Amino acid sequence: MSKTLDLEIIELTIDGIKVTGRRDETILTVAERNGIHIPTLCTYDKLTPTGACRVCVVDIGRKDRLESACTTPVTKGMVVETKNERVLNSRRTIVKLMLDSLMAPVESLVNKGDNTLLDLTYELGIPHERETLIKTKRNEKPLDNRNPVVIRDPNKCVMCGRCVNACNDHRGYKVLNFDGRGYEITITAGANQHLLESGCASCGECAIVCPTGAFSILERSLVQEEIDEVIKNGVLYPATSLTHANRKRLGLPPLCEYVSSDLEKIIEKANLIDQSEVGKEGD
Amino acid sequence: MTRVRWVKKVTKRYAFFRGCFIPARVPHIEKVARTIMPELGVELVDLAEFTCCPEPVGFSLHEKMTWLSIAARNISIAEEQGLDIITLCNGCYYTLSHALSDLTDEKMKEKVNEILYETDHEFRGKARVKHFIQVLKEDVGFKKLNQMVTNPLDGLKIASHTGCHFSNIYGPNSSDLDEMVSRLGAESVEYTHKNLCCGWMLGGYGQTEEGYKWLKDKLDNMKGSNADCICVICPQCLHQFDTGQLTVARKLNIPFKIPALFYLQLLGLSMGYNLETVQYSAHRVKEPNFETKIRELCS
Repeated sequence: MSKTLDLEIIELTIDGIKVTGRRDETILTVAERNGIHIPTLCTYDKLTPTGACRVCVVDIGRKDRLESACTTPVTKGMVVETKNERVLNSRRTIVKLMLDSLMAPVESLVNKGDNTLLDLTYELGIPHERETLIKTKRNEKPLDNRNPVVIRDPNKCVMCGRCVNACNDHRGYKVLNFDGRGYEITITAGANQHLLESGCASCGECAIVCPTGAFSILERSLVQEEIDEVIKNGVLYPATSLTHANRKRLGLPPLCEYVSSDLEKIIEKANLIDQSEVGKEGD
Repeated sequence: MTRVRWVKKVTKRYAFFRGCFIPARVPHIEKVARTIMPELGVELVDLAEFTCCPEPVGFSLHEKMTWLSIAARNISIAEEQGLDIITLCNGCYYTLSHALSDLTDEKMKEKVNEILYETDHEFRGKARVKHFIQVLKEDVGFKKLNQMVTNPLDGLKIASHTGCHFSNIYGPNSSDLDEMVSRLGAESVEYTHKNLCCGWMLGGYGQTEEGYKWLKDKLDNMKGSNADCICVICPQCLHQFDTGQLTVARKLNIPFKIPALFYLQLLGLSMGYNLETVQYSAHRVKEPNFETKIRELCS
């Protein structure tokens, strides 16, 4: 498609509202811009949408199937329904199937700042205690906690692929990937190794994007001292008397003590901003 | 009249971001950098206001906004002087370059500047950040490097180790450092698990033993490849391969003796400096065979 065509403004209808968008935009982008909410799971701001989870399905008038809003581009005169019974039923079934395939209680699906799957159960009104659709269970897999920075619990994974996307495209480490097919699909690190041996650089991006807590980051208590040290002294590795002697011997300029209060101001204000955002989300 | 070899005068000034590990724990690396970089036409400018980068792993995961703002403050200090930043440390490079890429987002930039408002700094996004290995490759250039390498390290076998927090820039293979090593006339040997971690970070989070297991694995493989020495570009990796090696050798009763050198030290040797000038004496692991080899090459 030529560039001029991509930029052409076209009209379409979403939930009975007339909206406009460009040919290179997806239904999800146009809907969000116009304040129409479509629930999503595998989509994440800085990652390329893959349409893997099928939670964002919408009805575009096709009898045979629903389309995922995050990957389907808008077309001229398109009529999209995001909240009819067919769509809602499909979404509920998908989320129920996801929960059934997990080997962990629903309430435990929490991650720092991102509990997308748990929030979806509330949004779609799915009770946590119910009869399961899938009768066969996956085998319980061991927790991988040898790497202190990123801890992995495969039993909480719904294969949405956010971590794979983040590791490969966003960060470029190419450590995480899918393995197996169908119901047996799993996420593997390296050549099916522990994270520690897989070549993982412990950047933590997988834990940041994970919507269920299958990847989680190290305990805050392990880094609190580090953070305090930086804020207080401006450096993480303070100079010792040996340092000063060594530097003098080598003829290097002496290390000055950190005197500015800039870092204290920064952490104070950053915390205020973080808190006010949490407040907004809660409203 | 003797003919002076033509060497181009100062080409580029950089704000010298030392970080906190180098000046406090391995100051000899700073010394070597201050000796060699000006000779290559890179002027290192000290800026007093720099703080910790800050630390790239734990800090960034728990205090993302604070982490980003402190990094932005550091970058803005160089920006105010109209300078780009040079680092000698993978961690500093990781933090500052990731902060730069995060701050290309206008919303994030606005938020960070709101936080920085009271500190009288403003992040504009004009300064660039470079690891010294990039500076050597891109600014100094191979032509100049070839000119400066008057004393090629012929026959020296070097096991290169790029380190986790730099390898994502050039992909998980450390082929780039291999190339830089071979430019010094030495041979960069292949060994198993070349791109894996040195284990330093594990020690920082209370798993020192696990970290040493890692180090042992790397050292075993390096020994298997008959390497004369190790080449690193990160001070933490250097500390792990030097002091850590001594600890592992004592604990496991394995006589590991592979000296670990910073790339700049090897570059210094190939430029005709002797072992004393490149501060080899500050190292914990010393190997007489390696010293003899270097002395022969230098004579």
